[in-house]
Amino acid sequence: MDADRDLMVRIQAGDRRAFESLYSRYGPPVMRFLYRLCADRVFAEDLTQDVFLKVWRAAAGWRPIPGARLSTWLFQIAKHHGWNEIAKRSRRAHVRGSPLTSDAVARAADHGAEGPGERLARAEWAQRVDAALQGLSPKLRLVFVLVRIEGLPFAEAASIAGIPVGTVKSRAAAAEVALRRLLRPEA
Amino acid sequence: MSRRVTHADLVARALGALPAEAKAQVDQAIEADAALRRQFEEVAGHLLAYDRLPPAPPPPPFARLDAALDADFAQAPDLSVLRLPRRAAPRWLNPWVAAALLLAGLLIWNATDSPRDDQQGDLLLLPGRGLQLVRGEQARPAPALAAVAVLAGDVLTCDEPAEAQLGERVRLVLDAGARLRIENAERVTLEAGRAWFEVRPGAFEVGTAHGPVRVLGTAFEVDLRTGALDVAVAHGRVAAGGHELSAGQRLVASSSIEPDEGRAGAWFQRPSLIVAGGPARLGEPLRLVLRLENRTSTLLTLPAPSDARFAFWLHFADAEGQPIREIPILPAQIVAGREFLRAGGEAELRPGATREVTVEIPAPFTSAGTYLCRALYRPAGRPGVLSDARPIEVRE
Repeated sequence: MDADRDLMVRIQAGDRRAFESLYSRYGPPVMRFLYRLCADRVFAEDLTQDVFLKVWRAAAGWRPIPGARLSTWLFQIAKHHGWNEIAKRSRRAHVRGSPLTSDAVARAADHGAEGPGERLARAEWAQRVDAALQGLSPKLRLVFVLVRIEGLPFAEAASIAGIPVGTVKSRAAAAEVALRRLLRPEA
Repeated sequence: MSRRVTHADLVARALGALPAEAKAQVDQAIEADAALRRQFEEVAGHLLAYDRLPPAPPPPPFARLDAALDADFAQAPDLSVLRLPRRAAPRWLNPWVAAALLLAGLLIWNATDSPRDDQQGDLLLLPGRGLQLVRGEQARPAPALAAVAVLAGDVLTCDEPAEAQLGERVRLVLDAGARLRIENAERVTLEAGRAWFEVRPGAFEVGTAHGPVRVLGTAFEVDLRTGALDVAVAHGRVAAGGHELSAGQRLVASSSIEPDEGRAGAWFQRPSLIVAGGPARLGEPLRLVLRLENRTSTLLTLPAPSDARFAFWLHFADAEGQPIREIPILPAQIVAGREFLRAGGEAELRPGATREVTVEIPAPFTSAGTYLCRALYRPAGRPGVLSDARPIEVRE
């Protein structure tokens, strides 16, 4: 927490190296979050860059809040920006018929030493989950990614999504039910 | 005793998040119901599979972001101009609570036999603590947490910053000493001081002695304390002085200054930064004049950094534009114009005005040739101003 605060103070003084450190620390989770929301690598990269440009511009107004995590603030910006941009695209994929991309296979290969069969199965599963996520309503998708994929506590997910904790819980459960239906083999 | 097991229970059970008693009940239900058991296995299998998702692609390299920052540099809005920070709405301003209180206030008002003015409108104010309501000659503290019907001409003031909800759409924060005259639900007049407004979409106007500030659905600050109109926009859009401001932009204009025609972009420019200096010789100090010039017709307010938070840098590149080095200018290297860099406060740059700082860098070059020099003025925490590149010839 203190390291994050120090980084932000340096960024407020215009320190690009500090900003690079912040990016190396939080770029991957923000990219992962946005990627799971939109299931499009190039789009998620653009969104991630936009989010950190906004972070740089807004850094001057950042003030430490006792007990608040910097990641919550970053995810709030990512959610706000990503949400708007993704809504504009309003892209919906289908579970069936999504081709298995080489990118998905390559990322599955990064996951560890596995046989080619397992690797393909994992890649196919990832592709199915990504596509099924796109089949969820944006509200359910956001909560599911925050809670189940990012593993954030309900309270932090609520703060990022700007909704009460109870709503986060009910949406997470509703997303589970919907995903289970979408991911059934016969779906 | 058996309990009805929901999907959320199954998820919580699979994640190991149930208390012991609930866990035992869910386990019992799963054991007794084959369909529920299959459902649980499916849920647990999915949760495990979500954990085993391959990693998402990495973010783009920082170099790409760095280049975007450079490109963004000159236009970046400066959010730090908002000196009255947005505060979290107090709990009592929760929309549902506010709506309930407004309704209660309205009912109480209707139920009482208090004399009613013919001009009585239906505009309700939900004041925060410390707010004073001035009606005619009479000033009285507005009762906190109770809705008050306000009349055209009522004035709100306070001795310390105070908040209020005006009607259903406007949340405002008055700074100590500010005076805000209510006209109707869509118009108020700021007579003195500064105030912060958050307005839900719809018409709303803040009148000032310098002209109206019209809201286009936004949050913004209006400040009259310096005798000039100072509008800073946090988000959304605002129309003021014939221009449209968007998030991060700020207008500072006294009534004697006519704003430019056209959109805000025409005048909301940073001052230009000019580097002047003649040829240099190897091994000799390089003397440069850095000039901040306001080419707009609007008063610009520049943060004047202290020496401790020094704010000028020089960037040198070769003739092809390839960066060579970036050096901060040290206080001791200022040979003229130091008064501009006085500690604290802000420096005003009126239309056409310039500020010059002359610097002398001891022998920065090690070989002759032509170099491109750009100066950067960047107070701490601000995006700053970057000059155009100026060629500097270095002779043997």
